[in-house]
Amino acid sequence: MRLALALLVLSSWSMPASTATADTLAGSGLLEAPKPFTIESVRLRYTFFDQSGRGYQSLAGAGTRGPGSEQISVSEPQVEIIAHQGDRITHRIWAPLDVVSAASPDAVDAVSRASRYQEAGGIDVASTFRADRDDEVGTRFAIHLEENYRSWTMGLGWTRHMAEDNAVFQASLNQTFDWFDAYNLGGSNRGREARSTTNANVGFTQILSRTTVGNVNYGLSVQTGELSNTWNTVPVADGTHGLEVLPHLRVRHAIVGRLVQALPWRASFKASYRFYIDSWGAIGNTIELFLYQRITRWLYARATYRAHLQRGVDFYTQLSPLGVGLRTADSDLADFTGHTVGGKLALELPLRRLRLLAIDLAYEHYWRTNDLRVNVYSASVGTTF
Amino acid sequence: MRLILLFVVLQVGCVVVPQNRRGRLADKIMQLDEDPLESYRRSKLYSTREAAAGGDGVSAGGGCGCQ
Repeated sequence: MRLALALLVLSSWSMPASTATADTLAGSGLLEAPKPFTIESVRLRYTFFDQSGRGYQSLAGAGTRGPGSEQISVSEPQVEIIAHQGDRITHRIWAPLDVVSAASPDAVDAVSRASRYQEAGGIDVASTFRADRDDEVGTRFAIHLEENYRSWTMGLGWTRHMAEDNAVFQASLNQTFDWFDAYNLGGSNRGREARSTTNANVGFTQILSRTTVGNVNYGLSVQTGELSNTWNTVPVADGTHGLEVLPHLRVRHAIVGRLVQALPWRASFKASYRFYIDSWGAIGNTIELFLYQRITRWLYARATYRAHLQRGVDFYTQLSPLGVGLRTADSDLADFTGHTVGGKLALELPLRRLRLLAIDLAYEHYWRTNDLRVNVYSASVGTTF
Repeated sequence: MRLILLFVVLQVGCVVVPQNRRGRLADKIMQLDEDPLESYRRSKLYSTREAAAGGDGVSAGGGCGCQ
């Protein structure tokens, strides 16, 4: 017994209490050195857009002055990987792909498939570095490729956490350069055109109570260069069609307010309002409402309604006079009201080997008062490791 | 009326909710942006069919042949 006591005392001397505690913590993973590179999550989403309607910018099936078809379908797979490099750097690698059929069939198809069938893809890498307890800085690099189109984007961002994370301030700056082929009405290539978009954003998020979060964002975008896709047409008074002519500068302001409120029956309500105005004379008022209901701990449902009231640009016309001036017949730039209704069912299953398996199915129907309808089907699967 | 509004705004701005009281806020259905991939497809649906865009931390236009 004395020998056992002596051994116990000796062993406690040879292993200081702090080391013993450290070993215990290391065993639990709390004091392990950060791994050089770990993947946190992988997510895939597939969306199918089925659009029908008519617009004056399209020649597809159009008479001399009538609107043409805006029938398109878009398949859009996306993949997103979130990875950590050490314990301060997080990367988001995201690759969207679009396969568009019949984007805007017209004479351009004589030399290019760009308006008839389009495959577009890109990769977007956003990295954030946690500088200290309160500050994060971020960078963003993206490239986008289409048959007749190249685009490069660079961005910088800063996030400041305040008041024990009760408030977050964010600011970001993005610059996009687009470079693409332009076409004459007959379909001949008229060389390369370029477009620049400079964007600045500031946002503030505040926890308003134990059940309420508020957010305000302002975005300024300044676009210069060729701002048309170069194949939209305009019906002209002499019975012919001409290309749309847009200003080479567009200054766009948008301010958004959002509120999230928890409801007592394991549900939540989100509301957002956006006011938009630009130098072309367009004004938009948009409200968006979401109602979430948890059905079980791992299953929830969502209902959506959105309304968008738009005053079109100053130079929108469905019949342009002779002569060259600013003009567009693009139905997206006209006066209209748009509505969206939709629903979503999302499953989040904690599994033994994966921390979380997430699957969702969503449907939305969008329609506008100027003859456009879109059915949107979307499904997602993702996992957190 | 303006003074009342200012008072409410200042009161709300001074609220500090301790971390151990934010359990409800951690739920996914309470996130401002629950799924960035879904936000992208919604943003794409609207920014390519409406004149209005932006205010959500990304550029209004550019970066794609369709906008």
